This record gives sequence, structure tokens and C-alpha cells, in this order.
Amino acid sequence: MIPPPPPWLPSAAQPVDPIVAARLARLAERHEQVATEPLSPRSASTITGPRKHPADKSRIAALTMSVATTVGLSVYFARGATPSISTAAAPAKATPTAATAAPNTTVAATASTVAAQAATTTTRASASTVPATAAPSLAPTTAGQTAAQSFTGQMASMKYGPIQVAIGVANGQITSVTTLQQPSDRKSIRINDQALPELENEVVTVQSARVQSVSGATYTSTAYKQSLQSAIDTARSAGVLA
Amino acid sequence: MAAHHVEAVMGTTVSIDLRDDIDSTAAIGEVVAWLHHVDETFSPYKATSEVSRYGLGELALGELSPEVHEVLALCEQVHETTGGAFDITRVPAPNGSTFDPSGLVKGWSIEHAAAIVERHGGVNFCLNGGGDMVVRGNVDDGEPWSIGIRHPDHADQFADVLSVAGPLAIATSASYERGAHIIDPRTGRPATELASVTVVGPDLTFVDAYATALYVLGEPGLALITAQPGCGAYVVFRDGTATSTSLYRALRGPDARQRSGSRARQFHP
Repeated sequence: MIPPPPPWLPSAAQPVDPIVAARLARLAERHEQVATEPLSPRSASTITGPRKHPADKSRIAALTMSVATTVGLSVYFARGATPSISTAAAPAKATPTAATAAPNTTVAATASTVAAQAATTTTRASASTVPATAAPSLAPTTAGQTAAQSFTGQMASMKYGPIQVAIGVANGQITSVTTLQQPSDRKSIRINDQALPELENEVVTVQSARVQSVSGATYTSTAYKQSLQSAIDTARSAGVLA
Repeated sequence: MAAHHVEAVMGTTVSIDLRDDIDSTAAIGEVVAWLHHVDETFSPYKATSEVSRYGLGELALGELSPEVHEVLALCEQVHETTGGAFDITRVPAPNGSTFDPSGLVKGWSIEHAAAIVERHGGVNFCLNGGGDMVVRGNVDDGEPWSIGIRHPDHADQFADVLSVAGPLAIATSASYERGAHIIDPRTGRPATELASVTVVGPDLTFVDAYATALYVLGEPGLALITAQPGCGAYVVFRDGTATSTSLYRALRGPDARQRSGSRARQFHP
């Protein structure tokens, strides 16, 4: 016998699994209980109003680094070997994939340099801009803000193998870095193996540095920046890690 | 082509590592948009998110969207499974309420992100959201993924290394991050017995939440984890000793540091 749906369910809504409905009802009941009767004094003492965002402290430092990055890239492009920047208008209404989609703006530069510069800054820049990186698709561009743009470097034949780097920029800051790499290039894998010992120095307790991903309690962007996963990401962005 | 992308979202950083010859740009774009959507809807840091507004009493349960209903029902399911060790109604949240489903939302969202990549043809990839990850397929030519488990005392060292051929979900809970506490919902106090907890299993939605619950439950919670189909766990104690379940141990690769003698404890379900 299926119990009648709880009164809070809109009648026009999709039929809800009675088990799900019962779970929601129990959850709501406990939530209301906690809301009306405060938790035990012990736990209440741990609740001291809205906490600061954990990344707050790092934001100023990260902002500084972002500015340095922007200046660095500007200097590079200003000085670079015939940097023919062909700019088609940025999409006024960003599509869901605007940040990384096929770019309207192409920066013709040697991808190797873009990769090297971007790699040293990607984690810093992206970590610093939690609010600013809100998906362009979801945050409509307002006056005074520039739409997120994607810059894709030309495919370059580096000594590590073919590599292409795309960076997302919003409001003058790098918000994301994507590295595109040919997977079937055996040469790059061989050279990547030679590049590994650099990372191995940091990894003391494990016999192999051939780790592609790290599981750990990295709850904040600040913690991420200090994490081994961050180092792996940076190395991959630089194309020195398969 | 293969691609690697790092996105700052949901208060943490998500690393997207795609190894297939697919339209990676499209797949990454969709995943990134999805993760930001989840952030807008579920973040306890954003006062305008549905979760914050419900937690603060501004929205009624019936006014929430179907996806929030889905997540809240899953939270309640884990609450039942873990005997109350996982309780989103008793978590001190940044928005000032005590309602915070983040312990399940991250895993749930990354599991959905994996489905997006698979829709784009992805077979071999790894999505890592702040240390909680979904692994699919292999790294290269049938070679399994090498996944490091962070050492609880040293951010730059591994406590263990797993050799993983997907599909598998891996999540780690710990309080080694300064200021991060996992509150035991049954007492309202931070759980302190363990240094770190890693749970493996088929679905990151549950694996993520189980890791939080196991951290609160301590060693007795291991039996509960092994009772879940396909799930295993690895627990590091404050004194540096560790224990693990047989399903977890089967994932240890040849690179894993050998543990023997008195410092290793074995858990036999």
C-alpha cells in the first residue's frame, strides 16, 4: 500500500518514488527540529555565524600573482615574434562551452612559450578566482565586464611532442588552462619518462613517481595549491608529464 | 585528442584528465558548465543557492528543484546506512545554518561529470575534485592508473599507491588541512580519532559520503563500509599505523610501499 504523497509535494510534479518522498520528509523533519531547538551547547559553540571563505586569505596573494601573470603575458605579446593577434569579436552571449570552445580569438604565438608561461601560473590564477570564474554560460555578461574568452595557441612541435595550449581569460585574468596533447606520440612518452625524476624528489615515501592523480582531503583552493595534485597538474600543463 | 584541464569551482579545484581521442574541448566545456551550475545550486557559501536558502528557512522543501530533492534523498539514504554518522542537518555551514549537504554533493556532481564525459565518447579518464575522484578505464595501452593516497602528515608524500583499472571511485577524508574539521553529528564535536580515511567503491556519490561517515565512526565503521557492495577502505590512525579491508588491499599496485610488522594492522571482514 503506497502512502499518499506528502502535502509539500506539488501535485503537478513528476510522480516521486515513495521511498524518496519518505526520506525527504524525514530529512525535513530533522532539519526543522535542529532549526527550532538549537544543538547541544557544545556544538552550538562551534557555530559562530557565517565563516569566512577559506580562500579569503589567499586571494590577495593570488591576485598579486595574477597581476604579475597578466603583466608577464602582456610583455611577452608586446615583445613577441610578430604576435599577429587576429581577434574576432568575443561571443556576446557565451555558450555553455564558451570558456574552452573553439576560440574566436587566436593568439598566434609559439605554443611552447605560452605553455611554459601558462603552466607556471595556471594553478595560481585559477585558484585565485573562485567567484570570477563562474561559468560564462551561467553568468550573463554584465556591463563593465568582459566576456570570457578562450585563447588557443597554435599546435607546436615541441621536443616533448605536439602540444597545444588553450587559456580562458575573463576580466583580465586567466581563469583556466587546457593542454591538448597528441596521445599516440611515443617519443613524448619516452622524454616524459626522463622528466619524471624532477618530480620524484618530492615523492619520498613511494617508489614510483608514475602517479597520475592523488586522493586527499583537499577541501579548499589554498590546500590544492600546496598539494601534490597541483604539482602533477602543473607538470602536465607544461607537457613534461604524460 | 587527450586533454588536461584544471578548473577552480565549488570552493576547490577539479582536475580533468582525458586520455581518449575524442572532442575533449566539448566534453570539458560541458563538464565545467555543469560543475558551476552545481556550485550555484548547492554551495553553502553562496547565500543565494537553493541549499543555503532552504537551510536558512527561506525556501520550503516543496519549492526546491528536482535535482536538490534527489541529492537530499541520497543524503538521507546515507544517514540511514551509516546509523546517523552522516547527517547534513547537523553540519555547521558557512552560511550560518546547520544544513550542509556538501559531503555528498561533490561526489555526486563528479559522478555526473563522468557520465557527461562518457556521453562524449570518453572511456579512459580521471576526474579529481579536491582529492575525491572518479577513475575510468586505463591510462595508456591497457596500463592501469596509478593513484596516490596522500600521506596524512606530509602533503608531498604518499601513504599508499593504488593500481586502478576503472571504473572506480576513491575519496579521502581527513582534517590535516588547517581549520578543517569533520563534525561528528551525534556529538556536535570534531571527530579526532583518525588521521585519514580513504574509501573506494563503484559510485563516488556514496564513496564520498562514506569517507566522511567512516572518519566520524572510526575503526568500528569499517565493518559498515565492507557491507556495502564493492566498497573497501583504508584507515590511517594518529599513531601512524594503518588498517585496510581486503577489497582495498587488492588494489595495491606493485609500487605500493610494503607494510609489514607491527606497524601494519590488517582488517579482515
